[in-house]
Amino acid sequence: MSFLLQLISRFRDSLTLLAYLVLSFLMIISSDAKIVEGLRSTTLFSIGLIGEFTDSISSYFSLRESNRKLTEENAKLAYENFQLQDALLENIRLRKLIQFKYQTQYDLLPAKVIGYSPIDIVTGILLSSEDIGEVTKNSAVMTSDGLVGKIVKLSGNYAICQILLDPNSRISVRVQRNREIGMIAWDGGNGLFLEYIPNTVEIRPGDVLFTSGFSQIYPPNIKVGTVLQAEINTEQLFQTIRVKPSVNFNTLEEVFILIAEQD
Amino acid sequence: MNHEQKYYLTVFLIFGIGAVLIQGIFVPYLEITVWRPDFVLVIVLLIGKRFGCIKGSTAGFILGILMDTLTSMPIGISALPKSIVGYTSGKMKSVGVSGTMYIVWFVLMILMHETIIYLFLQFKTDLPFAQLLYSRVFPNTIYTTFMFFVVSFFFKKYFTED
Repeated sequence: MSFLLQLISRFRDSLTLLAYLVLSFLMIISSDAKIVEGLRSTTLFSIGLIGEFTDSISSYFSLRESNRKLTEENAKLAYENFQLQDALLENIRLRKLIQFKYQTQYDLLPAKVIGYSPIDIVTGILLSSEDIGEVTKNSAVMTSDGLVGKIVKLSGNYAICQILLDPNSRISVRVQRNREIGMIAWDGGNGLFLEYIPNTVEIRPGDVLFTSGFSQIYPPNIKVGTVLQAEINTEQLFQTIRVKPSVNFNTLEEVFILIAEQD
Repeated sequence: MNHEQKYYLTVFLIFGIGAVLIQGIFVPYLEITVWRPDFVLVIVLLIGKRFGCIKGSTAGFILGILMDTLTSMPIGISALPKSIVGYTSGKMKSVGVSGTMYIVWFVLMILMHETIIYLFLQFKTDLPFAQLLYSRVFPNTIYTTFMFFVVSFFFKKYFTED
């Protein structure tokens, strides 16, 4: 026993590090465990409170509410505009389906951006809203410019939104001009890749991408980005397509969380 | 609890937690292209240097966990390399490394930290690691090293044994 204690005492430094490494590994592989989720909720709540406080210092109190209403209205109009643009193209193409209508409607819940994920890749933003109780995990988040991401964690009045630049993020999109379906993923910088578009498909710079609706998370027809460059790879099946996100993630101040209306 | 432990806790709470808040709230405004400094890493390095490897690795682990909980990434990705950095920084002190060599070691530790983080992240992306290495790891290392000198310059007295 004393030998063991001596051994522990002698290698105390290394054993401490080893313990931390093992704990880190265990947490990495069990990120959905209740204890890890609880830890995340507590920290999010605490940091959210502080972030909200610091943010409120720089706010203009008298203008905030009217500005919020105007931004909400703007976002609603932009969303309707996205749908109308798409509907117009569909109507031209599919004249027989003139009675097509969208079956799902969404409410827009305004939320304030109070912070960013603290690691050096921007993977998420911290949101605050008094009505965030109505929001569920995986709700889509957008601005008047387009899609921002989805909610991945909720705690109190705060939420973490996983943005499109997160390495885990994959979104099914449709090219507005030719209706091709592809997948949006992070490009390693501040842009995106449009993946799984075959070399035989014509993609032009300036083509606009919208959410396809092939998802339980993102409703259709939210603008995601614009094609910057398309390059055909003769040795591969798919093109390399660079996309500029429609949202500037560095200047986000307020976003809207989409909540499906109850029937 | 002796004076040294109290001082460690004070430094940890003020500088450590402060660095996490700064990293989440203000650092996005310091972004150059896509590169960001890691103030939490800087504080872990300084804590390790001042208090030794056990306290350094503890600070790295706890602050790393705090950072991870505020992202949508798995918890532990930042905690693991920061524990190693805190430990190594403290170890350098105990083996008597000083002066310029200490700075060289700091740069190497920052580089190692960034490399480990992006090794984990590359599994989540379709990007080759070499691309992440030159587009993220090296620039972030340079930026964080610069910020290390800035922070050391202004807060040196809190991280030296007098």
